[in-house]
Amino acid sequence: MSARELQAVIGLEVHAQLLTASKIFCGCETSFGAPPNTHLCPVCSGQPGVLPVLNARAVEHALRLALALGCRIRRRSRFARKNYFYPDLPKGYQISQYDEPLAEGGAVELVLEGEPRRVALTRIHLEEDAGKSLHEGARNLSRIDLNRAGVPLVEIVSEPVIESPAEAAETMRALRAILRCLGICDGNLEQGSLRCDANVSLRPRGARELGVKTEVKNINSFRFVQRALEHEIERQRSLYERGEVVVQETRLWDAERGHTAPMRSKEEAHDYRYFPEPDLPPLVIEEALLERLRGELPELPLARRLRLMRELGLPELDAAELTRERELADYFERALAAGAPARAAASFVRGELLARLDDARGALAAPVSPEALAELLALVESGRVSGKLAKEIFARMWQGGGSAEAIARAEGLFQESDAAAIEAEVRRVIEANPAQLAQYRAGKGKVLGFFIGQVMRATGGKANPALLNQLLRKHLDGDEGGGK
Amino acid sequence: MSPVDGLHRESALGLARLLAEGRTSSEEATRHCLARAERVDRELGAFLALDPEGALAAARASDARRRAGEARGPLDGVPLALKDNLVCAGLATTAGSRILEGWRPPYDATAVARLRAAGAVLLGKLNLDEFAMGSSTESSAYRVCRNPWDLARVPGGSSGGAAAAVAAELCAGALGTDTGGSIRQPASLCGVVGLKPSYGRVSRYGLIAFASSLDQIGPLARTTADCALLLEAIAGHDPRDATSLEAPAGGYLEACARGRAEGPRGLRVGVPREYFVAGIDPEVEAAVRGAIAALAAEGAELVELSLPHTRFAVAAYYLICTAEASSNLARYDGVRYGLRVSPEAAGAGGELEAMSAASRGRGFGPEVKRRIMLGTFALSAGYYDAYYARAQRARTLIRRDFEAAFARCDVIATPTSPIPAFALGEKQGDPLQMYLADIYTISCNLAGLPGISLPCGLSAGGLPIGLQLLAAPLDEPQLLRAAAAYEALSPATGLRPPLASAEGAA
Amino acid sequence: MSGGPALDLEGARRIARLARLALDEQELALFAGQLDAILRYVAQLEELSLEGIEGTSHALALECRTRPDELSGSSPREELLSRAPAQDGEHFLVPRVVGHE
Repeated sequence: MSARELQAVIGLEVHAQLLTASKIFCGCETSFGAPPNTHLCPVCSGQPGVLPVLNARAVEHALRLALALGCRIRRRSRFARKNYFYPDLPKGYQISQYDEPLAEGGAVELVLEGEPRRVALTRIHLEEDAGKSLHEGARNLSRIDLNRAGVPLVEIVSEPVIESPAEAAETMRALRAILRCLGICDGNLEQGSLRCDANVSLRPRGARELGVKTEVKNINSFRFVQRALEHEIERQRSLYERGEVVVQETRLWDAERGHTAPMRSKEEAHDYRYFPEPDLPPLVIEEALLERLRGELPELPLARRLRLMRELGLPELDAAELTRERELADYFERALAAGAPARAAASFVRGELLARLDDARGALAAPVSPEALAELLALVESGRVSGKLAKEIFARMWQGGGSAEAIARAEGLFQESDAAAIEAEVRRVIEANPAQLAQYRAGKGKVLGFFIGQVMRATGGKANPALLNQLLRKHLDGDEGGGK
Repeated sequence: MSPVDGLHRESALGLARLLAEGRTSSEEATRHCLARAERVDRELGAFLALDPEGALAAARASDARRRAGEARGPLDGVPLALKDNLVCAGLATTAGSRILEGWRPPYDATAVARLRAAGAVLLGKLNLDEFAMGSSTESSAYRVCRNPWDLARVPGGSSGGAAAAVAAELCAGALGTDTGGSIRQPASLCGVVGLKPSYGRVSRYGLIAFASSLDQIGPLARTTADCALLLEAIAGHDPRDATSLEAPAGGYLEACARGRAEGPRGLRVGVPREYFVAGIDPEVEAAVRGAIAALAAEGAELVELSLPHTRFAVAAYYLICTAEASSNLARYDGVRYGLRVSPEAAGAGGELEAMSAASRGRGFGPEVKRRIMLGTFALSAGYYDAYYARAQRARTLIRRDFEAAFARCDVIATPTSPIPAFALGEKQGDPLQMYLADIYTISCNLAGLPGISLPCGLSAGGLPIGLQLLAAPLDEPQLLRAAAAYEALSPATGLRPPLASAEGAA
Repeated sequence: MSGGPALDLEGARRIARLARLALDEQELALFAGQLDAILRYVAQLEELSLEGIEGTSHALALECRTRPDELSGSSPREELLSRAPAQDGEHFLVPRVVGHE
């Protein structure tokens, strides 16, 4: 086959850490960054005789995701043991779900280069995380930290339907936005609370059968999703070009070297000997629970983005940015509810607010409330404060300077909207600058800016720009302009 | 005779009475048991460890409570012992395996915590087959355990230490575990009463898992009522065990009293024809048929039954239990606790893999390794459907046999073991023959039923023979009522092994 | 399930590695023979007609009970680390993992 006509087929396997206080099968903490082996008890360290008891919130979170993604939820699902030996897997098996997962089907909806796309999902299931093996340091030793062992995860498996690295990256972004919007995962790739493995294969364009796939692991940032996949596709393509074959294997993305390399594997590594977990009876999901969770579902980021575009006429870029985090969109819509005009509010939220927040999820706790922003924007709308000064007022409000009205009054930042006063200033400036007047009259329209600047300087920037513009034109263009 | 001289002969309820009446103290009873165990157990091998300090401290605390009028109930101050696969905070727990040598559990099993809460005194840990895998206690990594009726014979297993200790009157009662008969079979071979509760009746939290879907903790004692007393203390829902049942527990002592008072009149006793076939020892068959006849003579109604899938039970059981065991025992890898052996050579998988493999190769005994191998095979790619999945479906048929049977009867009566105690070493080397001897006890575990074994006679050679009764899931009251009714009729009730009577006369 | 030996020496070697058991040649040969006999015995399950029969993985029809998402405290680190064959006060130590992820 001609390598040039090869088309990539990508499937994602995403692991998302669920935001629960305690681990999935015991009462240890899940928080990140604790000293090693301090979030550990007999259960999650796999002491002889212990038993798992399922965390109800982990189930609810996984169900929220399944509902949001339109999956079919199994009313009776089952846990299974995935058996393999690894020193950071305390029991010698991982409790996961296998042939009867919590949910199947569904899709991640996204927009790629302006086109709506739907990435179909295979399944969503619950499982426990393993611990961490640390290999740096002592030469012949690995150190084991089990804090993460037993942290609840959902695994989200897509169908192999993604056609490009860009689409894969956008799928991850959309998924992350949904997880964060639902409040069930903080979506931090660097800290590992969201992890992405990808299956990659190539096939001749139009063919139905999939080529030999490789699994790419260790992709821990959004930037790398795209780069790792681009690299792997190129690697496979050049193998085909050279007439070689792709070997089915697991490859690790090495961000520093910018390539993937095969993971040293053992022939039996994939015989996981799954069987139903005897310590956990089947998980039965009651309709009443689903009903409640359905009622609690927030509007999802994409739906909200489209609504903002439709209802408010916002440009896509604004709408996308505003709905990136649920709290940011909430902030924006609360400002609107308090009377702020949509475009001005969008511009302030994207510009002034985001510039001052480390994390957009902190929007609602910002020093300037959405209602206070609405009050500021009302001053702009009524012409009492200029757009430029409004940014300055916002900065003072951020520092705790009080309401927009109070700051504008105290600092004398209200706009000069007294036509007579501005007109007097306009006359004075024109008279003082006959040369520029002559240039203007000779057709150099740009000189208008000079006059605006002069009047603004004279009024301390407070002249209402629209009024000033109108008066200047009147005097520059009109007969009486010269005062003669 | 002052109570002290015969304290070891007392049942748990008997001791409770003496304690309540102030005729003995818990410390006195405990010292008596400990001293006797020190003496007798050198030869018997029932205990893996005694805990004199812990036991005496608990006994003194119990006596202080009683003096203060705060005794907690009939078990307060009564000395008991635990099979060594039950986790006891601070007390070395080995499960009979080298791989756990020296491991001190950081927590208490729920059943153990409940015994402590009831005020019971825990004397120590009892011998067992390694990880409860066996029917003779010969796979214990630590010491030989003998049958008090004949020291050249096995006590049965895997709760052989518990059955031997109770029979030899080293303690009034003990907790054992039963995965395929491990309480009932040694009870039968040692002439005591052993009760396996319904699956989920007693929390498995802190029971070192062998086969999680089959394991249950239960009591061994010299009387049915003592078993009921112990079950009252340990039964009931435990939020730490997702498979423990929420149905209310209790009423067990009452059921025994009713059985004793009313006898078996009106009881429908099922007799499955598949349990009286080739392979059964004629003396065992005669004793069990005699027991059934005695029940009928006192007014029980006999119901001829068929449990047609019985002959598949051994096959299904050994695939399921070994598959679960292969996974349950994966945690013994030399990383977090237990034995670590440095490998001689790193091998293909590197030094880490070699370390775990060497630790497991050295730490596990042959029976455990054999079962891990069988279970790993039954779950492995390409074989799962033919072995494990098929066994799970056969299990469904066996369960349905019992559902149909219990529509027609209240309890089912069978032999517990096809043969009385066999000689030490006699069946080593042929695992399949050893497995086949579990034929009468494993169906009960596959179906999750409660079952009990109680003495129904002695062989010509003076070896105990046990009658097994089975009831529908959660029907422990019916089971205990029938058992207590039969106990009053049994020719074997009150018989003591030579070891105990010799000591007792001393 | 029928036919030649269900488990030969090579099969036993593969299973031993999967089960992470270091067995010597004698043990391997012994187990291969014994397991083969057991597997031939359990082959009688083939006689059963299991069409449409669901497997039983829990003896009693139970539903999974959940627990509320509450912290119940962790063990002091020393308590669990002190039970390990090798540790450095903070971590469990093992021979270096080869081909780690």
